[in-house]
Amino acid sequence: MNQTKALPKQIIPVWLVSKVIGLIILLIICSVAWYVSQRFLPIITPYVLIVAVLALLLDIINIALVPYYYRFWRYEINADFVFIQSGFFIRQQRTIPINRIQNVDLEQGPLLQMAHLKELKVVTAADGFSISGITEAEADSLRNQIVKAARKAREENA
Amino acid sequence: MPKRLHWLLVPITVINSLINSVFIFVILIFIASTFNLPKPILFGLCIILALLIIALPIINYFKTTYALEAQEFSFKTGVIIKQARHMPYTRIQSIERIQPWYMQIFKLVELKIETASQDDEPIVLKALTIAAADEIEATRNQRQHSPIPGQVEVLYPQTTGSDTHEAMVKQPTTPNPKNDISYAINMHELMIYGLTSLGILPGISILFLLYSHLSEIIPKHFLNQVNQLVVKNSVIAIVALTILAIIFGMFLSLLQILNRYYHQVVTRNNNTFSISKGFFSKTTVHFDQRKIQGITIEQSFLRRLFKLYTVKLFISGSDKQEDANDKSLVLIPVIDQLNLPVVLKNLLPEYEFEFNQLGRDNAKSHFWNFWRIGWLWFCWLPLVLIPIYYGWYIPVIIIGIIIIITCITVWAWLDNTETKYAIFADQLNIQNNVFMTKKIFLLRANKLQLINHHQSIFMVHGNTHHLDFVIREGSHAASLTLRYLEANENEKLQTWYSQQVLSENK
Repeated sequence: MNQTKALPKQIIPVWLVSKVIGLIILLIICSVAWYVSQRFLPIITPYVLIVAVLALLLDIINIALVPYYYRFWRYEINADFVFIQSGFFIRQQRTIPINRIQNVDLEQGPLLQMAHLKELKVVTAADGFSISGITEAEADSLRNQIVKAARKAREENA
Repeated sequence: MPKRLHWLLVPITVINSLINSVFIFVILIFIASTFNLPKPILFGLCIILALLIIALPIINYFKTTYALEAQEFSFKTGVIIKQARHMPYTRIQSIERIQPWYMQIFKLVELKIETASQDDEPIVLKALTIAAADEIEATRNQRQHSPIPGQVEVLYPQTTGSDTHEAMVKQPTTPNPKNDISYAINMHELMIYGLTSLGILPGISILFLLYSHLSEIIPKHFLNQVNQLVVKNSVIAIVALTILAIIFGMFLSLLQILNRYYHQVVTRNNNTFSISKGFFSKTTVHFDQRKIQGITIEQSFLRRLFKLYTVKLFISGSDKQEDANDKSLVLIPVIDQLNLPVVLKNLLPEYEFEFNQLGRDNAKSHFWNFWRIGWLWFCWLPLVLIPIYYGWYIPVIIIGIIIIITCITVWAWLDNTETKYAIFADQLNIQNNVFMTKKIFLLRANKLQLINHHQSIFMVHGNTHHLDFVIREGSHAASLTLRYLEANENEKLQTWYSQQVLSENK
């Protein structure tokens, strides 16, 4: 895993925007909870506020740390393996042989479309993993590699 | 030529349905008495229900047929919604025989035919003669072992029949075992297995449940007398009650184990395994050796005293195992340490069973790491304050804490000493400890789906990693972990796996 690459930098604004959307949804939920508690059960309003503030605070810290988390996402795709490194609290380094891969799914939500990135989902016979965003050119290249590897692989894999 | 199931299915189904419908009849009578329904209406409803119970199995019997075609097994059933299924023999993953006690009397079996696909429901032939079941299995075995030109087998998720055939040709690097190798478990060992099973816990729970219900029925003054007696002689009474509860739990567990594994026989014929077992309900499972993803050999804390092991298999394909109580398929529920390598070598010559070679390349102890992490399981410990609130004796709590500390220490010591591995040509044996149960996993490189190094943020400054080996279990992943491996050990295992994958690709 010496030649691992960082994800494209365009992924940072994608993550930031998606997390800000999450924060707005959380804010709406907290507001509704606060309103409902004040209207029907005022006795629990202080507790609702404490939980809401804590949740919002954690989410804001999480958003602020996105550029830092970015450092811990790396990957490498070569002729034989896909390496994925991820996680901040639990740091994981997965080694997935290409000949074990059953499917490669490419997904592109509206935010990824704007950044010209694709989320790559690699599915083995046992489990599935994803690389949050790679360039469209790399996605095509990986697909070709896997088709080649699948031809070569004579493993039963059942 | 389509064939029907055995005609005795009709009376068996009728009797089963009548037993299952008792509740409906009771509800009908209850509604009738509550709303003062006229008796003719009540009788009419009961007769309609009874007629349906009798008529449906008869119609179903005439509408259900199966046929052994040249290349596939076909099955037709259904009255209102008709169903016709055609299952190529090559797609059949396993055939399971179930024989409840009432079917044993008439020498009938229920046959469950499963494919490798997780989406397919199994075909269930509810009553067949043993000869008919044998014929289906023989046809399937014959067709699976004779390649059909041009036939494409679609195994889940994307493997073709030609791959399977090639794998079949390629795989036996070691010689195939002789025909019909079988192993039957020893009754004496099975008895010890039952008595040392953790299944005693449900038995003890039943006892507590009974006690809680009895306390509502028994007069209060009597219960108070008993409670006072227990409080006065607290230590003796608690010890005596605990021993009684354990004996009761052991007895129930023994009965359960005997019923499940009675006369378990494992037979191998070329690549086909069959496991038959059971007392009241006999079960026979068939599966292909090539579906084995790994082998687990485990020994619980208590069974270390008797040197007994359990052998389980990770099988790919369907998640629906024959035994809901076991996540993995139990190949041999109990076997003596001395016989283990010999028997397994006979049954599975494709694997290495040299357990003496298990070891570590780095002798550094990780006892304190395991000890610290062990406390995470006891984060609920502050809850011990609750008994104090209810006036429990502090000595009892202190004894409880001492027991927990002892458990964690033993646990950490076992974790540290039993985390080992051994690398063979294309096989990796790993050993770890899960809740004081020693587990040895035998993994072939070509069945390992991926490996995963991971470490928590607190381990970043050290040189240690945890290493997961991921294989298929059913249609999902099973992750087998070696914890606190040093950098050189990690590198060695990573290099071995990479080399194996590269050699597969050559």
